[in-house]
Amino acid sequence: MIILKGTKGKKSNVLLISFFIPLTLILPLFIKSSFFIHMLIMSFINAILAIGLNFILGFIGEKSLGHAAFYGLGAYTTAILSTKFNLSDWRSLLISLLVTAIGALIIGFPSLRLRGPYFSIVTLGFVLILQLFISNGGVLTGGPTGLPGVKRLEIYNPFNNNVIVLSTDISYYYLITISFWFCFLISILLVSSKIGRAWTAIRENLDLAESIGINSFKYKLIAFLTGAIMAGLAGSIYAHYFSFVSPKLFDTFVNINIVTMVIIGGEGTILGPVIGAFLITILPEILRFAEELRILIFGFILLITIIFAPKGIVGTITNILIHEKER
Amino acid sequence: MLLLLQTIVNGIVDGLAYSLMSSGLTLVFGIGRVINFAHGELFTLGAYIAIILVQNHFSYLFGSLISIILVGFVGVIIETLVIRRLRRLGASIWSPFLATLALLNILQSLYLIIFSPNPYILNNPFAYVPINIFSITISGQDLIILIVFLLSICLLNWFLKKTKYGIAMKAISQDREASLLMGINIENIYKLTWFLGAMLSALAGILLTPKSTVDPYIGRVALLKGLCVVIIGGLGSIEGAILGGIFLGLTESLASVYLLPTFKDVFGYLFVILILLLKPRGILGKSLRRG
Repeated sequence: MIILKGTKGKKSNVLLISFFIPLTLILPLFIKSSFFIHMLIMSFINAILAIGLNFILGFIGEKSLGHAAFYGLGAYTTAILSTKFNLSDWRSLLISLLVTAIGALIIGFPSLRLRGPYFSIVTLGFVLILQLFISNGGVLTGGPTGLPGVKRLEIYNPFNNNVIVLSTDISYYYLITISFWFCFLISILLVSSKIGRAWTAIRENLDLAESIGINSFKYKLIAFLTGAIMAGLAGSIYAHYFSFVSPKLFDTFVNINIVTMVIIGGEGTILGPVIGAFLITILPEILRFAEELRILIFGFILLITIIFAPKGIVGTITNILIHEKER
Repeated sequence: MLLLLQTIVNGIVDGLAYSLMSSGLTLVFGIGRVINFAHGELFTLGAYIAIILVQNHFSYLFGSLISIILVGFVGVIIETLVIRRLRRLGASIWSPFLATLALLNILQSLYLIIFSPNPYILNNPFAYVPINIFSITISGQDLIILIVFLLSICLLNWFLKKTKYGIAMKAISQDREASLLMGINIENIYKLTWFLGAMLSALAGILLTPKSTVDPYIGRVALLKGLCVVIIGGLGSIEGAILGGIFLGLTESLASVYLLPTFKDVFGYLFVILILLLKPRGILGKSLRRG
């Protein structure tokens, strides 16, 4: 009912998920290529970002262009805590999420009152302000060159009462996979709850939704905040995994990339952003394009999707399946 | 005192440049209802074409004219190939907006492939001549910007207010269905709008780039400053764009002299956010829904 809207029952969703969760967990046993593991890690990071953006962009229908700000905020908070305060365990992760949430509130309160293009431009503006602050942040943020030497994440092990340092790529693979499934399940829960129905109501007709007592600002803020916290989580894990953050991490291109993932996969669907994220991350690596050519091809893919399949991959497939059923 | 005066003059000159950057953006939004995210790339395209022509022994003036007209036709191509299709699909305001975002990526990477990231210089022999008026200095290029700006705004105003096509544009921006019933050829007017809008973007590119260099990324600055200005002035209002540009130029110039120079651009955006909080439709903006 939810994953492919209107085509499958709840039972098959459970089956689908209970097939894919173990699959992603045993995948590293068969894949020994570290490059492929890296690609999967990046895909999952991007998938978390896309799922988070999809709340406000797909379900509410307000086109945020500021999602990368939260990714950057999470990554930089973690990096600064790790390099300057020597803190890189669950506490720093928690502080990063908290800082991202506060950032989301600061951005959300003024901008969520705006609609349409104004909202898009103001959220974009916040990304640029954050970029300027971080590029001019001096010793604290490392300026435009970035902040190297972020320590690996330490996890407390309650059984042996010791601390494990996540140092291998495989351990980050598991960390990000678990985080991804966590975000994915939260997204299913939210969308199928009262909150998700309120989101759809706001998207379809804001005035009508408000007239039946839906507090649109509150629900928009929930969507914005949840998405931001997910992006903060992705950023934080990225910082530990890559040990390096720079302002390039969340520049305009990355920002547009996240939007592209959601649009290509299908905005307003649960599975769409995930498919989009995997495609956009893995496809260029398989085809081995040069950097400039990659942006060019992304641009064309986005343009063709908008013109010929405006509902994205998942949306279009769902439409076809519904038509088949009706026939 | 002199410093203050010089700062204000610099601010106004910068502001006019910003107004110029945003006029193309605001025209296309006001009539076509599309935020043209590829605006900055048309700005760059104008500069690149002019550079090629000047390198091939055209004069700055003549090269600029050809470049402006060529970029105008690129605008028409974008309208016909992309925006019109989306309009026919009955898509929301979001799809054309996203399509221009894709065009931004496409054009920018094309510049990277064709021109490489190295900076080019658009040579204008008059650009670096300092001009002193009452011991306040402006460069020759600033004077050109001032003159061309006033000229083009007067021309644009005349066109929009007095000619048949200008009035048709205004009619479409107010009520699309009614203007269709009045026998206005909407498709042609949209093409004309994009032609003019792209021409204004290229004009800004040609006038402003002699003050610095041209590389594939300069379009970003033009786009972002342009967006700032149109938000301050209200999307779709030419007068607002002029006012917004001068406002922004003055704020930045005063802030960079008397406050923190490195955070010059932040002040611009903080200003934008403040204005949106107080007046969500900009200083001279009209309601989007009624438009």
